Amino acid sequence: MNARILIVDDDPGTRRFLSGVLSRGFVVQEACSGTESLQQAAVWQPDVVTMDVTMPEMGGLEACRLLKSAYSHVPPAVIVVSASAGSDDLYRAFESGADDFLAKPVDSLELLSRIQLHVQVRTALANMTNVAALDAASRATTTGESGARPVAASQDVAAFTLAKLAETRENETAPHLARLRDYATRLMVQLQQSMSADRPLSEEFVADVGRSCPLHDIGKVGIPASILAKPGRLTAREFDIMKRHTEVGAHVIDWTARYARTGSFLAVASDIARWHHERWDGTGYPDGLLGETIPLAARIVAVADVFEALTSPRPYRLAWSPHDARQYIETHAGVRFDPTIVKSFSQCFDTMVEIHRQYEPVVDRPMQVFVPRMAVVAAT
Amino acid sequence: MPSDIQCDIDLQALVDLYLAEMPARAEALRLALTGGDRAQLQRLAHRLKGSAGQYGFPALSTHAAVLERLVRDGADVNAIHGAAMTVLGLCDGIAKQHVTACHEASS
Repeated sequence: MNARILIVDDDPGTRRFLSGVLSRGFVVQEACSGTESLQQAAVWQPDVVTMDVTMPEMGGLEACRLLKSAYSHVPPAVIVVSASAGSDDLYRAFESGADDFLAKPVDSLELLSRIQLHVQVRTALANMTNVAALDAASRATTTGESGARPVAASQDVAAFTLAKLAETRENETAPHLARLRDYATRLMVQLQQSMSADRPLSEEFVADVGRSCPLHDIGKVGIPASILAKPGRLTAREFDIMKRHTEVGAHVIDWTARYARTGSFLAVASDIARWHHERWDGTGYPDGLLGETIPLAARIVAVADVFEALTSPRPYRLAWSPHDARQYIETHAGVRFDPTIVKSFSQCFDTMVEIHRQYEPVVDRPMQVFVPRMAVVAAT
Repeated sequence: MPSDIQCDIDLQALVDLYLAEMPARAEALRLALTGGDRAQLQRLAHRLKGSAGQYGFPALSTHAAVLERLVRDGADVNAIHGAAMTVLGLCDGIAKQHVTACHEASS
């Protein structure tokens, strides 16, 4: 069944344009004000809403807030479409509960692909909730932990689906996520051996971090493609917007957690997404947390992520050797990274190199334009 | 001033429709200007800013944005009048081009 999209804009010309683009792949309805969008959403229950900001009567952000709070089940994904796209505008949009942000004028291909991604995430989310419900039911009738497996499996699927959503917007590949997971897991095994017995890492924690670290950059879905794909250095303003991917990511995951009810896994994922760019000395972002106030999961992923990034090639530089990356990480112990984790990293460095070798070297491919499947269908 | 998005055949029909409505849009703006209805003028300029950008007329979008800002900031009548005349000039230019294009297409 085709997904349902509600277009909200007070300008009939803009509505018609968006409607013309979206009716290629979706079932579309229009609303001309915030008030009308609420009424229509209640009756028609769209999957995704594109929301203009400045409208008479009720503005788009207020409508978004009400839309998100009025639903007892999964509310529609809301994409705020705004002419002004400063970092404050982005922040306000996400604060009002929006899931994504697009600047006007909207690129038709980007609009189609983003909506398609949100529809996929909702499908994954619905499946995840269904599996969790099934699992709860089966646990109620049987004994033991036999039911835990399907939930874990569905969480893995959901995590990778969500991560793919971020990934398609950047020239990153799935091996990158798998490597990151393996580095983080190896680090935690080492930590388990070296940490004092009064604060051991539980098996559950290790599993949660491994499962959720592919989501660390999920918030990049909320960052304009023009910034993500920019080949050169970002301006200070662009970097400020880029930094928001941490808060956006945590928001997306928290939102998912509210409707998925699948336990600790998403709480850890949220910690990692929000705080993996914090620094031990308190100069990181978004919150400038200091030392052990940064959640452990985020401190672990910070080291694994930097090791992964440095040893991978980028369009503007060659890959560093693992040895050089190790030197960088050790030099920044107590500055950027938790010294305890860096110590564990050094202890298991040889295995990290093995993991690095295990994966095929990432070929430096040219930028690819993401073409959503239904756009191809529409063209044939 | 052709639209930036005319290369996309599917969207051409939408652009044509938008252009066909341009005289009506300009007329509404002119009415708000002469009637001194600043709230309406600001609303129309805001919409024009969004739609013109969307349909591939960045210059019109920019000047509509200037007009919107002047009205919102309570600029003096002359400044607003000047900005509005620029916007109306661009609207008329775009609409004329559309008529010419239709004429050429039918002949």
